Amino acid sequence: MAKRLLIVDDEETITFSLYQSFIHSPKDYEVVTAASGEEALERSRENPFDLVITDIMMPGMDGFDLMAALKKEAPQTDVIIMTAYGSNMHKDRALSEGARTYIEKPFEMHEFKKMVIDILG
Amino acid sequence: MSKQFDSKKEAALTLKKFYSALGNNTGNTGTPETIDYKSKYNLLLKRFRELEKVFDFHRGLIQNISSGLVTINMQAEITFMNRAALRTFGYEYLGTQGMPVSSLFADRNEAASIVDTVLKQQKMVESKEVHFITKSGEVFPVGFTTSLLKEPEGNQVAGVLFVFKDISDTTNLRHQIERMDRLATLGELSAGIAHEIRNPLAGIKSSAQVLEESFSPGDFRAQLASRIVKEIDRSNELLKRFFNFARPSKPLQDWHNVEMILDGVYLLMAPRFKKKNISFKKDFAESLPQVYVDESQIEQVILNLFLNAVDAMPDGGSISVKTALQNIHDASTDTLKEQKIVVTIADTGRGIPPEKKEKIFNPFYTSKNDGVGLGLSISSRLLEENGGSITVESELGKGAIFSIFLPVTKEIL
Ligand SMILES: Nc1ncnc2c1ncn2[C@@H]1O[C@H](COP(=O)(O)OP(=O)(O)OP(=O)(O)O)[C@@H](O)[C@H]1O
Ligand SMILES: [Mg+2]
Repeated sequence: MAKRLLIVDDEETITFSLYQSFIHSPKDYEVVTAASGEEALERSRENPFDLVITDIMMPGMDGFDLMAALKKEAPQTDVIIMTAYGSNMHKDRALSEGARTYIEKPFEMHEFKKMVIDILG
Repeated sequence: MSKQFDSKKEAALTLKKFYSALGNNTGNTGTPETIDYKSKYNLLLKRFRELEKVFDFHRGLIQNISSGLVTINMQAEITFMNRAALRTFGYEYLGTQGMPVSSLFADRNEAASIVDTVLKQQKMVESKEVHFITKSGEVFPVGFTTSLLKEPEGNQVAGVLFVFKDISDTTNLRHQIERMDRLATLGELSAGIAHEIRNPLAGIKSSAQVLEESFSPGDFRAQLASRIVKEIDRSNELLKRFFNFARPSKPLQDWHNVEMILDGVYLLMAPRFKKKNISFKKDFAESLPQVYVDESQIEQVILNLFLNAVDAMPDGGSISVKTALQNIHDASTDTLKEQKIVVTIADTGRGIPPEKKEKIFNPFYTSKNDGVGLGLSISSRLLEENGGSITVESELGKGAIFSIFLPVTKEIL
């Protein structure tokens, strides 16, 4: 069965470009996108994901809230935090609250993909 | 005021001479009349001595207080300046008599309006801040208060008394605090803006990279997409600099030798100094205590100062670096309050115009074609993070001296 990946960001260009990148890659992932933490949690309740990649700053539920909710409701889901804040400002917090990794925007697409493949195989 | 006092004293002295002459003339054997006269004379002499004491006391008070006192008559001419005032302005007592008070003010228009307020409207001024100017043309900030001088008899106004204090030190401190505030606001602002800009940049970059991957590598469309990515990276680099400025990473403090840090940065700069025909002198104080700072942040500060010094000397010159220990005593108890290490970096470059001395610490203030104007504001912020501070002195055309102060902290030991 294909691994399930959820990309969460209120920046539509980011979710769209990442989505395009994964569906055109040879890896056979099932890719879903969400524009908010609330929407992401809803999708996860319908059918949990293997990996959720989420932005921090989003209106309403932010990335940290989403990660905390997922840890409770879907503990098997891995989480990657991405952010446009510089200087590793939130890195320590992200890792200590259980994120697998942390990536700063803007990122290199090949690095981003490698990070996902490292986790999902 | 003093003129009045002096003439009174003179009169009194003449009186004294007169009486003592009289006293001698009366001899030892006197008639009851003369004895009565003599006791009256003695009484008068006693009163006179008491008066003289009071006079000396007041004069001492006026001459020795640390505040400057200036009195003016109704024509706005100076009638008296106490010692502190004379010293601050660099005037001789006699030279000030009859001088217009407006010549003490750096801004003549402001002086005119103040004279109008205190003499014409007879409104008193309290704790007003202005700039005074010394005989040699040096401008300094003061705070002053005025009060009316009345004629000894009657209620006729005779002039105005100005009491002032040099507030250069407090002004410097306040400027420093204002500078920090400005930086803090700008810091928050630019962190917010940088975040907002990096998000769309990230979107453009990933889109361009997906596009690039969809063409074969030699395709001109792939090349165009790759150019988009390169330009994004360039903008992002600039944003990163702002980020560091806005939210410098928490200092990783440890014990360090200031000399070692200075030598390290010097080694880095030495080739550039040589190329620009700049000689380097150092004068390090012996056995300075270590400072508890983030080494790389202090290095960055010193590097910025060296780079600025080089820029200020396009035709060569010299840079002298000095270190010293500054002991700060508590004024009231006279005990050692704190110690600071002072590093001064002096160049022989073009210098900084007086009105720019505060501005150069503003983010984005630059006088250079290729400058960003962040060097000094970042430096001042980094020092603040490490409990230090920075000041500048300069004479236009002669050079600039930047001093950085680093606290010697004992408590963390
Ligand atoms: N040693 C100096 N002598 C004369 N002027 C100086 C000196 N140091 C700084 N300045 C003035 O202060 C301004 C601000 O300096 P600052 O280091 O903040 O920015 P910059 O050097 O212009 O740009 P950058 O961001 O590249 O450092 C300079 O442009 C210059 O006008
Ligand atoms: Mg500079």
